[in-house]
Amino acid sequence: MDKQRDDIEKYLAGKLTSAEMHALEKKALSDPFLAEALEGAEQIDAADFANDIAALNEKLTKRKSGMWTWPLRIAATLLLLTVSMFVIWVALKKDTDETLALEPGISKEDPITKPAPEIQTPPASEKQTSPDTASRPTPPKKEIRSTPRPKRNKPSVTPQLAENKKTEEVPALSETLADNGNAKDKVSEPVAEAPLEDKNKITTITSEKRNEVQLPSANEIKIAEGFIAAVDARPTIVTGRVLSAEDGTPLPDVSVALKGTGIMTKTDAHGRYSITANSREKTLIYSSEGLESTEVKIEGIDSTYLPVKIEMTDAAQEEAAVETSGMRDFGPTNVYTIPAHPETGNRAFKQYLEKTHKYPREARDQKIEGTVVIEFKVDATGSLSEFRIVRGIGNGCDEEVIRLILQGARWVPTTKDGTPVNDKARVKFKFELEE
Amino acid sequence: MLSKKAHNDMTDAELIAQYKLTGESTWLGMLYTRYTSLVYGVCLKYLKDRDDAKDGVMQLYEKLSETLKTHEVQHFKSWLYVTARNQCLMQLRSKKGKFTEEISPFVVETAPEMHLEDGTELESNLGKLEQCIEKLNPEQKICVRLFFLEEKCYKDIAQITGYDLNQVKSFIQNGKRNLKICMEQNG
Repeated sequence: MDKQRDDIEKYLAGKLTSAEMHALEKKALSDPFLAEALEGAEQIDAADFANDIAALNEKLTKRKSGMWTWPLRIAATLLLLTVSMFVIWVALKKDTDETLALEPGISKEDPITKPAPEIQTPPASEKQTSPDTASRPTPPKKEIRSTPRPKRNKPSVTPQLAENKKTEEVPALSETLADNGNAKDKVSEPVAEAPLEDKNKITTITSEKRNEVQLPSANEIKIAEGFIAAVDARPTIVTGRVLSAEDGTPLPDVSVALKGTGIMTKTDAHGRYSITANSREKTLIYSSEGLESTEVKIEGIDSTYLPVKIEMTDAAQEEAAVETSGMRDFGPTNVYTIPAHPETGNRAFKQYLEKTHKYPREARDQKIEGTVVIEFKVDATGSLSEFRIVRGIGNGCDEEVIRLILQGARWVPTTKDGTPVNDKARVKFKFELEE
Repeated sequence: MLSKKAHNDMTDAELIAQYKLTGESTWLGMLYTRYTSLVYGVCLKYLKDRDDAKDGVMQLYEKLSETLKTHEVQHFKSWLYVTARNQCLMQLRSKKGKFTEEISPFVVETAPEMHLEDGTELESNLGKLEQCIEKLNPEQKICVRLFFLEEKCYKDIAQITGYDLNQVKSFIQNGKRNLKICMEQNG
């Protein structure tokens, strides 16, 4: 890694051997990150680049921040949770008298730092002694006395629990479920069964926080195109793929979250994800740094496959000179599409247009300026036809753009999963008179 | 604490885990400085200004220090790439509001290919490769040959062929894409 950093600097400074240069260039061909970095770095002097990097790294390594309490606290809470769960579980399995001895002990010890047992006890008792507890607030110690009996016959407890939840509030339920997913590896399954309630109260805090960060409000950049395949009704496993609407490339590390819960996952390197939606919430939120977060409802779908199309709001897209209509009608399958483009690349093509165009005399005389958009067919062999003026300014300008396209670089046809197909492309060009 | 050498051997994921566990920015610094030149390069490409690009690198670091605490980032490098790129584009966009004229309507280049396995795929079947190379146009053919088969660097190829560096680059990139298409069609 460090080596790579030095390599870029050395490459720019011309200090690499031919073989080393070749190796880096080859790597850049399949690593867009490196390719773009090199492209950017080449714009400035090699020595400047090296100095800037050194300065930045010094700044970066000297930085300190004291933000270590928060994650630690979470870890501690989880640990506590696990321990208390276990204790309760053991207690539940044992005889009632022992349970009594254990539970109040814990809650007395630290009422603040160990919220788990404290909160847990009242609801458990609420279920059994509903008439009197409902009327007034519950001092934990008294209630515990009344708990013993029902705990023995577990079967009868569980249905009651479920009812309770229903009447309370739905959000609470989903959060519980959310936590189930998150803490799975830490809390053993049987534990989760009985004291559902308290768990949920503790973790609400964490999951809420998570939600905040997880949904950046940045109103920007290309938006994802997602496909959802839903399987089964109850604990629904939703799988799909997130692609950039701009260019069809898979988007890695996009958060996919189940709205209103802490359940979330990330897309992998190929933009794929899979999320278990085991609550009533059926809205997925797609978000990533710099992407506009997008919500998609999966509620009430009866087909197992739901293609989702999201409009893109990419700054860059608005300015894109070369557009391809094929990009917009993705089918419901995950096709890797590379839109048609000039062989030389869009940038070179733009430079070509700017350099080579001749301002038509008529337009010049009449001081006509404006943007011309031409659409045309690029067939699978790369030949161009069916030119159409989408937006024209007349006076020979439209024809000039068509001439430039025809006489310019060859076009690489749109490919879907590597197979060239017929498609349409657009070229936009702005005529501006010099002062 | 581990020795200095061991730190360099740690994977990104391990560094992230350490950072999450301890909250110490040293780990984050160690992780991020692995990519400073990449991030800085990308910022330069989009922002075209050294100071802006440097700010971009620092901003991304700040963002990172928050995000990594809460997000599960599995593929740090690709995530970093997407994030860095988006941050730059966002900045360009906010600028654009103020200075409309500065940015030409041609900012976007077709997105780079994300297939990382391309290289090895291409090399796996040399016979077919030969046939496909023959089908390329003359400029692409010579550049591709020199680059992939004779393993010359861009600079050498430019010297040998007389094309300029950018031409060489684009011949190779396009040649490679055509090759890939050709290989897939025949495969």
